[in-house]
Amino acid sequence: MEVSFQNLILGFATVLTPANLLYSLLGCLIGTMVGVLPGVGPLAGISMLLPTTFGLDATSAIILLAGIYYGAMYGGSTTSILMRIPGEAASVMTCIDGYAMARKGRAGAALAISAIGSYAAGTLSVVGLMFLAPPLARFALGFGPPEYCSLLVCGLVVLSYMTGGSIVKNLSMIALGLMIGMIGIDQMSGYFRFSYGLVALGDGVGVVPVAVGLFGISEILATAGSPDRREVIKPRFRDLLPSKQELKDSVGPIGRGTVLGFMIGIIPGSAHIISTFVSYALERRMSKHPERFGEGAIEGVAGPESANNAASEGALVPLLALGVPTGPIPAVLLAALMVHGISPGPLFIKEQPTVFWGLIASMYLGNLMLLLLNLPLVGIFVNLLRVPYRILYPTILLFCVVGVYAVNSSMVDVGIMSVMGILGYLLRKMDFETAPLVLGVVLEPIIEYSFRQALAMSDGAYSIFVQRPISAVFLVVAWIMILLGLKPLIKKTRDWRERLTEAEKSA
Amino acid sequence: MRSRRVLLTVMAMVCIGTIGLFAGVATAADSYPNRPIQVIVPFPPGGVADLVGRPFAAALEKLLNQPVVIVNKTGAGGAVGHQAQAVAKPDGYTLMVALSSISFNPEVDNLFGRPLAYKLTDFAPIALLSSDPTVLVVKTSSPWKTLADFVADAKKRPGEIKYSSSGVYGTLHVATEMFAHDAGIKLRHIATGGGSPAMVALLGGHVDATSGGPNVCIPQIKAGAIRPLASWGDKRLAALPDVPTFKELGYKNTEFYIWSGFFAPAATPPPVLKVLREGAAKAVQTPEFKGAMEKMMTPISYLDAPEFKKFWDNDAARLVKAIRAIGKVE
Amino acid sequence: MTIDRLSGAFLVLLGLFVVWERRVLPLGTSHHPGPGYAPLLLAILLIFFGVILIAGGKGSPRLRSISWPEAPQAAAILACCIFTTLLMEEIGYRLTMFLVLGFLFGVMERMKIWLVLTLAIGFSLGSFWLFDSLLRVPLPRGGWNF
Repeated sequence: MEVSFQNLILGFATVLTPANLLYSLLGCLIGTMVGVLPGVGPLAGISMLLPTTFGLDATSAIILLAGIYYGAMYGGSTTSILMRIPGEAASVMTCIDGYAMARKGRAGAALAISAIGSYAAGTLSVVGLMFLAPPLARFALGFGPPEYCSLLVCGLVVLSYMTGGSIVKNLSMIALGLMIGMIGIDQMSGYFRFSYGLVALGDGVGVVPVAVGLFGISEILATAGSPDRREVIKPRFRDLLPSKQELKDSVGPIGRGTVLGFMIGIIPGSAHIISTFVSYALERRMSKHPERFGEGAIEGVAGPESANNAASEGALVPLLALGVPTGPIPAVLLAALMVHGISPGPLFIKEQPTVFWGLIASMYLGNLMLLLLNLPLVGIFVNLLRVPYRILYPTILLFCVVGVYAVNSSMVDVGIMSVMGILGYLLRKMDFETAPLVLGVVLEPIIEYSFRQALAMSDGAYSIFVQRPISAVFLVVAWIMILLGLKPLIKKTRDWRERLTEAEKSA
Repeated sequence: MRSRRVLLTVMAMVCIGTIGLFAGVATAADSYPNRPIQVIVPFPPGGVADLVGRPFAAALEKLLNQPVVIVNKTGAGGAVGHQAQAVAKPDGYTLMVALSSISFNPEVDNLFGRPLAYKLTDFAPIALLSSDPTVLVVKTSSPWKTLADFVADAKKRPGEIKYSSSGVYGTLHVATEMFAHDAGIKLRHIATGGGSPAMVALLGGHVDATSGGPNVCIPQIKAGAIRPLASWGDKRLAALPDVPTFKELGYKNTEFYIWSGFFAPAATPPPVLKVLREGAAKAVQTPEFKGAMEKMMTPISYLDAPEFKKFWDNDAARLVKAIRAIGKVE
Repeated sequence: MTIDRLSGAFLVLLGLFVVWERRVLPLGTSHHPGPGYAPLLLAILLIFFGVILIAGGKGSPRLRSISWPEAPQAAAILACCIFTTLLMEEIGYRLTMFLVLGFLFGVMERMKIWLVLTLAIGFSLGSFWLFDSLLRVPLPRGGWNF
């Protein structure tokens, strides 16, 4: 694939027509709106608009739909930061430090950094997409069940650093999340597990009701009647922009988040939300002051936000390079292309250069448009905080209900959201972190099925995990990280022993 | 003081609520359709049912002059959507586009001794829309050039050749087991989460074979990544004229289609059904629908309600036999 | 009774419940794990963590020390959620939301009646129009088609 200047010019020429520019803007606007609404994610937005794109030509259609897709990643952080309600499932991690920053009056800075980080990640990812799509896609195909399992084991080790607080409590939350993620039909045997006759639970509990309930509803439950509610720190113009220090602190997380997110995004079947968890954990591990995380550390916003934008674009790599969708949203984009008579396959880039390069060019422009859109909107959004909370929270409740219902037109989801809401409220009172629970719910199907599929592939032999090179590498890395994590423990024991020996000697 | 305010508020709300209710009731009834129609699609957006359902809904909307909105209700291999349709009010405003897997779930429930999520008799078939036979594919780098090679190898190493499917008791699983049963071979089944992950597993070399509808397989075949061995249809696919059918090669009982059909709840009044049947007949003739289906390489196979019912009954009987043959997986 | 001990006890109970409920699911072998494998494993983990929490729970804050000042409002909001979940498909979205918003604004927040009604009607009808008519995301219409 020749990434020649010529191709790029072709792409920009396609996009810079008034019609296509309009579609790109429209897609970004709708994406942002869809992202801001709690629960409603890009999938809903894209499916809503799919019929209207039937009349457009293929390039315009894909520009519009892709705009919704990565636009939603920008909008998702808004409600997360302002109200601790995940705008869409992948924005859960932003709720933690983003909201903490908002309570300190730094909401504007958080929103701005998240827009900037998203822009940087989005643009860098397009560059990656442009140059590396085919080889990366082939690499991604090599990820089979054993590799997945080892990767996730590795990831879990990283993620144990995710939040502060007692390790036992975090681990028990992950375990509880895994347990909840298990509910539903067992994909490999057809048994219903713990669904108690509710067919609607067949595909599992779903991450959207869990995320919105655990974070959003529990927040409303905890704050609505609380006597010290929400001192509205009236933001001044100065407070809307990030300080120099914050900008400096964000550069590293944005860079790392982009790379991490992009790599996780290209792997078939992984969810974007995992990239945000890993980025958060990584930033926390690498920070010199990890205790700041959870209290409003800008790295905890910059990293995850960049990661989820990079992951959403990375997810397009296998779709565009090989024609295989790696998740529900690329599947809809694939459908949109098919409806226009284009079947993405390995020959897509060669046979349809207009569409491919038009899409690439539109992604550059789209990210820029979103940045220019979101930065001024920061002021408007922050003023939302001035609305008295007693009017705000019932409205938020309404949007949460609609958002969660709209995902699958299912009342059961609203019920799950309510249950998770009360669970989140109780967990906060008992001093547990709720983010690891969401992680568990997301990870459970992936870990369990890839483990069982790997064993089915090898007919029961555990050696498959070390026989395949990529899988072996991940397991080794996991071991190294466990040992590194244990090092301070060993050191402490040794120090303690030395001191004891010395004390005995001197006695 | 406070209780008086509460009382006043509640009374005001009750008044307004009742008025609103009556307003709603008053606009009901009269000629059908006079309200937006919902069409349940039991699969996520982008899947076969959705891809056929959306252009169909768009065409129907123009004909019936009312918004026809697709509602994705996914889960449990389609069972969630099917069940929702089975219990929906039979007034013609909740309809469904479903795939051949509608025939599976009750049988699978039987197998597990569970109460049935729904029965096939809960639905009134209106029209058959499309009917895609699936295709068995292997990687081009694999040693099997024809189906005969594949079967011979499978007989030599029973249970060794791996194939991926879209999920246990899903369309691809049942189809492949139907063939394996007919050919007397034993294959190893690796269940994945859907049609795309199944294809990804094959492309990555993690399994040896998989199956899929024409629109999933053809781009990969054209690009030379995979090789089709046989198709599950009655006749050869127009898009793949060199691919023999299983029936041709001697496997008389191996016939499977991922078909999509338009349904209403069984108790829907006949006049409403008549309007819907006529609407469906016209909708599949519209240039927009035809164009959309052509672009997706999905041939339109339209059958009106009585013929569709016969087709469905035959198909269901075949599938039920196949599922009983599979039995409980471990 | 400290919070750690209580939460640990819950985890243990949950683990035991899962172990009990899982008995209908075949376990398979460790070479071919069945559907019951993961539940059993996770249940054991939960019990393990629960026991650790109970054992080390002495130092954590006492149960009595948790303050629940927002409990009445929280209970009301939760009641609204449950009401919505159970009845929204029966009586329709607009009516449910109108009742819920009216309850929250009027009874819990005790705002002026005209403000309550305006906001409740405005939001319930407005959001319905936005989602159902404009965005084509069907919201439940209830038994009376409203």
